[in-house]
Order: sequence, then structure tokens, then C-alpha cells
Amino acid sequence: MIQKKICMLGAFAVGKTSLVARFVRSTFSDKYLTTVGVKIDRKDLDLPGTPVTLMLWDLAGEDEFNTVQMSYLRGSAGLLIVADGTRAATLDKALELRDRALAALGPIPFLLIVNKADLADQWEIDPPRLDALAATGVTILRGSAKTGEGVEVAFRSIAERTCTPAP
Amino acid sequence: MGGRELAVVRAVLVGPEQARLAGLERRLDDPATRARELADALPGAIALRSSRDGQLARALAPTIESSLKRAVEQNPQPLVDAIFPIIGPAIRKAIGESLARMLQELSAAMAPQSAMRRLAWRLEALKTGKPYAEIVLLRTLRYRIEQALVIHRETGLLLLHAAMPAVQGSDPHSVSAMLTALQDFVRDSFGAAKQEGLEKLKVGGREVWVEAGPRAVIAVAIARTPNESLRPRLQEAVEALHLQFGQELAAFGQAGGGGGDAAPFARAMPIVEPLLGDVRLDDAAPRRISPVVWIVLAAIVLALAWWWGSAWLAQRRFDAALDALRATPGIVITETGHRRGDRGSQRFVAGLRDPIAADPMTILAEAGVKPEDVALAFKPYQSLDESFVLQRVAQQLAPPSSVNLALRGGRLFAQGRAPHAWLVRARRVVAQLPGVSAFDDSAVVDIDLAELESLRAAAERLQVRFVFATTDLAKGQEEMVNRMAQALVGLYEIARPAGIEVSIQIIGNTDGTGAEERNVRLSRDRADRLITLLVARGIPARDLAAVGVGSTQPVASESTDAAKERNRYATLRVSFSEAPLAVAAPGGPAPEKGGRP
Repeated sequence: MIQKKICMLGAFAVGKTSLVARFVRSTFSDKYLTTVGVKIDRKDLDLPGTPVTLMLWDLAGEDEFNTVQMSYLRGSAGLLIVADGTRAATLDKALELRDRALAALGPIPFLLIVNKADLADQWEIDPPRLDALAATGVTILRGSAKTGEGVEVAFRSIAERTCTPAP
Repeated sequence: MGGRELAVVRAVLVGPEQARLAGLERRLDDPATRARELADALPGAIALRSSRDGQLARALAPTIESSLKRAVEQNPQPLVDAIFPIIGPAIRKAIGESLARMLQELSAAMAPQSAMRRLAWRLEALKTGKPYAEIVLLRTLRYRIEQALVIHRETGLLLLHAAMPAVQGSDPHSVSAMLTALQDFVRDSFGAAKQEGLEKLKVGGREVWVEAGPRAVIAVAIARTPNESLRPRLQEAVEALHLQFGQELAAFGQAGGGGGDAAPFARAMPIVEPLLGDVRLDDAAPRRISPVVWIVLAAIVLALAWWWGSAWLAQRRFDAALDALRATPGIVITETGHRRGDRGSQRFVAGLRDPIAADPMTILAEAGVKPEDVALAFKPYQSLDESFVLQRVAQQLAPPSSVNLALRGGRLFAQGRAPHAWLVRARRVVAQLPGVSAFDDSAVVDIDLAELESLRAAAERLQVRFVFATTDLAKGQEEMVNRMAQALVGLYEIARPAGIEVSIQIIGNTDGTGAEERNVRLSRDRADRLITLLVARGIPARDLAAVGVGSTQPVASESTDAAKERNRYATLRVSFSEAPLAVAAPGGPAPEKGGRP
């Protein structure tokens, strides 16, 4: 069995925790997020050839009052960056966090999940902006905490990437 | 074929090969080329060989050691710089831990004796009926390590999880990650150095101890409170883990596809599993009680037995001594017991003692009681026991050896021969002695009286004759007067020391011739005449009295003149009486009265 540490990053209240809540094995309560600044969940996957256990470090969202504790990133094999489609600023924050993380960790696989796909009509983030981002090699998934859309795919995708030797 | 032709043929046939051989020779002969080629192949070769077995590491070890040694000799500074940041915290940690351990050992040393504790457990086992071993298990459980997690330090991922049977807990993977997050949190929040971190967590009766190595962390979940001796065990486990799984630990953290495989760490179970289980007090094993304890106990029991035994023997000796005392005549015991004295508790015996009785201390000593162990308080009294009365009588009377005394029913019987004075005194004294109601001395011969009696008889046989009708002594009667005086002197010699008074009647007689009136006067004159003669010979006049009886006591019938002559005489009668101070005892012989006619 392969284990990987995956960190979830995003601005405050983008729905990181809700996004994965129904797909993971939670041992600890959400309170840890506000106290320790991180919540640990476990997600077991069956990749072709090998089962994989993802340890998801759900880092408290960042805003003007909280900064992500970068030491929690140490040892991460991959990142899940989460933005809220209905708030454009969260995408900027997500990318900023990604840059900071990669600067600290070196080049590791990451995925961008744009949450609240169920509220597509209220989105502030323009599809062209996402397309441009995708063109730079960023993998973007639309997800919905409400419907569960995109979440399982995101786990599988990040797991596959972290288990593949870097090119 | 000539040499030239041969060379041509050779060039045609093997020319290309020769050129390649020459090229190869050049490559092999040129050190620069070889070094370049070897440098290209070396990392791959090393990796290949290292992954196959440890022979390369073994082969290189001496070379690396000597290189290190030389490097340190030449310039130690780079090594010092490299080690310094590790050494400081390591030393601090070591000192802190040994201090903590020392404290714990000290407190254990000051705890009550373990032997006593085991004795208490045995008693408890006896009381409750449970097996001793069960009590020991119950009482000595110090702590129990229920779970051990081996955590990859950098990723917080679980490498190995070991738990005691039936221990239920949260998902160890999540716990492992959360513990790591907590470590980071604490470190970030309180600004600890990177090597430092959370070492203990305490929640109620449970603790989590964390021992971190450079790449891996061992965390153990503990029920109850462990002591500091656990720390070295954890350190040893962490060290062993790094030593045996150094490569695997490095590989686990690799970014990209290679990392994250915890499978090799299953082999680390022999390192981790021994940490699990119950840890008991140092002296907890239900081992046999030390022989020293048995010896001490036996000594105490023996001492107690000896003390009790000697006390019992002493009591028995004392009781026997008391019985002997009670059986002793003249001693009456009224009270016995213990009382506080100058030298602690002391026995005491109180009662009455006849001064004549045996010394009670001597009797106690003969029965084995030491004089210093007992206090005596006897008041004097006179025992009426007949042997005592007799002793007292004998003391008082001091009888001559010729007298035997006996007491029967309060009557004192005397028997034998005694001087008159002793008898007189005895009669007087006995009347005053307690315990004697009467004195019977009828069986005692009064030596003095017997003698006096015979002397008196002899004296009274003497007669002094007178010339007819005168007071003149007949012819030759001077000699008779002398004999009479001698006899009286001898009598006085006995009577005076015996305290016997002597009275002498001198009796004058006449023959029947003439008027009786005149005869009486003549006989009286003759008695007076004899008194005068006796006084002249030393007989006291106050003891002498003259009596004239005329012719009334003739000694012969007067048929002839010779018979008449025999009737003209004077004789004497002696009587004895006690000296003036003497009081005649009742029943005693009365003084002789009267004389013979």
C-alpha cells in the first residue's frame, strides 16, 4: 500500500472541508481547523496495480486574519488548490498559495478545484481565465460540495500523479 | 611469402580490427580518458551495487573512516561546524533526562522497603484468598504501552502500527498525521528549534510519548504514568530503526512516484513490538523473598520466643519461689505483683515475717529469683506456730543442755536436770511468753535442791550433848559443834548461789529430870548456847532461831543414866525458802517446811 500526504489549500470559506467531507474517513472534528489550523482526513483509493491511501491535510483557509501555516506543507506529495467559482478573489488567493507552497516544497503535482459548480450561473470567474490557466499546464476540475461532482475524480487524479515518477 | 607481402595481406584482412584495437589500447592506456569514463559510470555502479547488497558499504567503510580521521586531523573545524547544532540539543536532552531519571530513582529508593511491600502483598493474598501472583500483578502495574506508531517524520505518514490485542483506537494513519501536525503546531506556536518538539502529551490517565529521530518518530500511547526509564527504551528503538532502515526511510520521503511505500517497515516489527505491554515496578516480579529478610524474620521470631520463653520461665521460677515462701513457717504473704520502680517494672512481695523465720530473700535466691528483680516488704510479727514458740522460748530461757523442752497444745514441758536458779527464772519468764499457756517442769530434777536436801539430812542428824542441868557442852562436844558448823557452811555454799534462803531452828532438849517448866527454860538456854557457838563459827545469826522443847522430844527412854545423858542435847532443823525477789511459780515445789522430830 502506498501512502501520500496531500495538502488542501484555499482562501477562507471556499468550501474545502465540505467538498471532501462526504468522500473521506474523518477521525477528527472540524474544530481542529480553527484551533490547530489543520484537519486530517483519510481517503483510500484503489489505483490500478496498487491501493493508495491519501492523508489529506485540510489546511485552514487563508484570509486577512489567518495565514496558512507553511510547516504543515512539509512532506506533501501533492496539492489540492481550491477556489470558489462565485468569488474571483479566491482564485487569486489559490494561485498565490500554490506559488508559496511550490516555492517551499519544490515542484510537486497539484490540481485546481473550482468549487460550487452547482451555482454556475453565479460564477465570477470567467471561463476564458480558466482556459488560459489550463493552457499553462494547470489541471482544473470543477467541483461541487453539494452534488459531489468532481471530487472523486480529483482524488484519483492527484493520487495517480503523485504515484507517477516525475518526468 | 615475404614480410612485406605478409604485412599487406594482414592489413587487408584484419586492418579495421587493428585500427579498433589500437583505439581501445589508447583508451585503456590514457588515464584521463579512463577517469572520465569511470566518472560517468560510477554513480550508476554504486547505486546498482548498493541496491543489491551491503558489500560496497563494507568495503568502503575503512577508507571512509581513515579519510574522516585524516580530515579531522588536518582541519577539524568543518566537522565541528557540522556537528555543533546537533550536539548542543543532544547534550541538553541527555542531561535533562538523566536528571529526571535520577530524581525518579531517588524517590523509588526513599519509598518504603520493597520487602515489606511484598510481605504486605502476601498478607493481602492470604486475606483475600487470591493467588499471590495475581495480587502482585494488580499492585505493581506501573504503566502499559498500548500502541506504538512509527511515523515518517517529514510527511507524517504512518510507517508501522503495533497495538496490544483488544486495544481499540482511532485510525492510526490519521492519528499519525495529526500528531505530526500537532508537533508542527507546537513548534511553530512556541518557537522551538527544528530538532525539538512535543515529547509528551498527557490526557487524564493516559500519556503519549514521542521520541523523534532524524527521519522517523516513534509515538507510544500509554495507560497510567510511565517513569523516565521508558525514554531510553524509546531512544534505543528509534536508533535501531534508523540504523536498520536508513535507506528505506530515505526512500519513503522521496518526491514523485517512488515514495510512500510503507511495506518494508513491516520488518521493523521486532523493534517496535517489544515496546508494547505492561511495565511493572522494578521489584515487581513475584520473586522469592530475599534470604536476608527470612534471616531477619527468623531472628526476630527467635528473639521473641527467647524473650517470651525466658519471661515464662522467670514467671514459673517466681511462682515456685512464692510457693516456697508460703510454705515457710513464720512467713505470711499478703500481696504480690508488679510495680514501677527505678529500674522499670519490678515484682514485689509484701507480707508478714516472724524475725525467727528464714530470710525470704535467701529462699527466693534458692528458687532462682535474682534479688535485684524483686522488692520485698515484710512487717515483723510473732508466729504462733509451735516450732516458733518453742524457738522463742528456748531463746528466752537458754536452758542448760541437760534440759529438754517440748510444746504440746500450748503447754511447755521441761524434762531433765536443771539448776534451781534456772528453774526459778524459767517459771517467771514462761508466764510472759505468747503462745505458752502453762509450764510443766515436774519432770525436771532441781539439782540444787537435791543436793541441799542431802546436806540438810546430814546436818540434822548431828546432836550436841550438854552436861546435866547446865548449858555447858559435854566432854568432847566441841568437835560436834565444829562438824555442825561445817555442815551448815557447806549448805550455804549451795544455797546462796541458787538464791535459796536458809532458816535454821536450833532445838534444845533436856532429860526428864526436874520440873518441866525449868526444863523448857534450860532447853531454850542450851539452844541459845549452841547458836552463840555457831555464830562464832561463821553462821549468820539472822538465820538462826532458838527453840526450847524441854524434855518432850527424847531420843532414848530414860531407864539408865546413859540414856538420860543422850536426851540432854541440842539439834537443828533446816528449812529453805526462795530469795526475797523470787516469785514462786504456780505448781512449783514449795519450800521445804518443818523438819524431822
